[in-house]
Amino acid sequence: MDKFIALTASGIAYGAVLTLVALGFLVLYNATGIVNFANGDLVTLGAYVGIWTTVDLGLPTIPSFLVTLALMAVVGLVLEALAYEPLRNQPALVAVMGTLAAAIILRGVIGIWQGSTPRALPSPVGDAVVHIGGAPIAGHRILIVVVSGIAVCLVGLLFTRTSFGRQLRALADDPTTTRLMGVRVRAAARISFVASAVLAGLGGLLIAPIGAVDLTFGFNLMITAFAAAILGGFGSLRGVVIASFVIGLLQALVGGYFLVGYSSVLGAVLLLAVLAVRPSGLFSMERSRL
Amino acid sequence: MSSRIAFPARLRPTAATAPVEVEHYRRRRVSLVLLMAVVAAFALPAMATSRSDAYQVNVWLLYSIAALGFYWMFCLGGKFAFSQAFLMGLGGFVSAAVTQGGERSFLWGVVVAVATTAALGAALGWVLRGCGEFYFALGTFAFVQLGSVYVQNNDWIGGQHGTQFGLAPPTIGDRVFLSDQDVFWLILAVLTVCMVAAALIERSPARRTALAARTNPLVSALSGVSVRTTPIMFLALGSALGGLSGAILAHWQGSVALTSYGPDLAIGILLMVMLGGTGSIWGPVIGAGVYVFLPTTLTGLEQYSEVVYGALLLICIVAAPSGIAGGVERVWRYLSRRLRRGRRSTDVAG
Repeated sequence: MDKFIALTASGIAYGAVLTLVALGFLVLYNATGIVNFANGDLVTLGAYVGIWTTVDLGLPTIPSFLVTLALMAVVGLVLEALAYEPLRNQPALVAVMGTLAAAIILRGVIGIWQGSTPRALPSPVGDAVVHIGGAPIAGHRILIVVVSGIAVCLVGLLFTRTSFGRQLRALADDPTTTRLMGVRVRAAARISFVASAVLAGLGGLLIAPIGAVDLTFGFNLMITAFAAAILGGFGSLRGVVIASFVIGLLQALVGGYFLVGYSSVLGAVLLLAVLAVRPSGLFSMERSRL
Repeated sequence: MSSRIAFPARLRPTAATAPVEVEHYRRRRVSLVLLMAVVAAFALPAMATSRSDAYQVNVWLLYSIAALGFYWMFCLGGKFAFSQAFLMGLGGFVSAAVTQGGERSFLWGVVVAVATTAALGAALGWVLRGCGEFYFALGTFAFVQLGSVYVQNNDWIGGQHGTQFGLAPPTIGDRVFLSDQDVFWLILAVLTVCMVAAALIERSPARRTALAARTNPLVSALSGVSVRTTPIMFLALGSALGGLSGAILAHWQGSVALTSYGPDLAIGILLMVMLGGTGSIWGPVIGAGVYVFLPTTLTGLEQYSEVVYGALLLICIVAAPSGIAGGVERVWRYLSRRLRRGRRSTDVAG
């Protein structure tokens, strides 16, 4: 029973981080119609910037996190200006290749800046352990769930209660009419890149204390987040949240009990299975580019 | 009110909705490949004076084979797959497993590697047959992740560290290709055969069918073109070239490590094709050359190579989508036109 509780807690925490990264895809896809392949490297960058502000500069946790997220917002703006805006009128796949090029550049820059030696980010709650049903749960996993929950609620409010959110949903529903109604698509793209980069950075900050951070740190998370975004449907906030937790729990429980060596790829297996049966994803959405 | 026509994902115009320049039949394409092979046979050994040069030339030619496979998948089949680098590695692992213990020859290993990667490419294409461009690319990402973990979890192919050592050198009959210079001849011969096959495909109905299926799947399907099987065929052919290249590379180097065939090389292969040019079979060869030799050119700036690669890819996508081969072809056409005009005006004056 202890093992089950510990694995469930681990799965929920991983699902919470997946939600953040997958929401980054969702926001960007709704506004621009493209998938950002640099998202994994944005996660890595977020973790490294967190290490820099916390360990190297010695800032306290909250200012360190805020500085990191602010820097990630700037990176999002630069990414939009360099890798998306020049390709906005090109076919979607060309714009996606632009994000791939940006990913290579980002990884190169991180490599030059931080080297290839893995680094660690200390958890803001230290080694605190909470016992639930007799099973020890790392305090950091609970922190992940709480912070991710707040972030998801904020994104939910952004979607439903703000003018930008309404514009974003309108763009996702009917880009042509929305543009004709005077919605500024460039501004929407910029804000989406910023939101996506900030969410990726937050994901990196939260997951970094669980393991070592290296140059490929965000890559696997990105692939699994892709799976969550596709399973949940790129248009549905609720769907993405549910899919992220399903994948997190699947990896933790099935991988923990039965397919021990394959736990990290269960999301990929699920993705392939869904794409084979439902090539447009579980909750497909028709989409064209702005 | 939207005027867009909603048709199924598999029939939706893809990335490739970018205008496709359909070239006319060219009789001399195979001759040009053979001529270039002869030139390479004389020039490259003479130019590769040091051991490291010879090594890099071999890597260039092997990457050209893999990139040519990606050209078939992406430029003809219209499928943006991240699987080519992994399939290269898998080719090496399969060949290592087949030739382990010395019971089977190098050729057996290569044949099984090619067949396995072609079958996997076809299977992947079939599983993801209905996917749009993004989902197909993401599906291949998932396939690579799954395959990599499989290799690491099974001792018969890769083992815990995803590495195999002690592979026998390439051998055909009694001829053992031991040194880099020896292996060069083998790789050049294989690349020449692949390029001849590519040249034949370029002037075959298969290419026209593939371009039609890629450019407008709905009309092609209505015209009787099989929009499902054509991309799968090119995916299988391209994957086979990945396996072929990886198997030779593994035997030449005597080892194969999964880490060498990760996302960096997958994106590198895309870079090779984009840099070299997506509209010609020479694009992958030129692009692979730039990819392999660029770090040597940037002496003292090796640590910036990734940034340079990324910047080059971005510049290519934004400013020169037809790549180096496309640029050369444009210059060649311009010069030919000028030459013809010059001749005509001389004739009139005469």
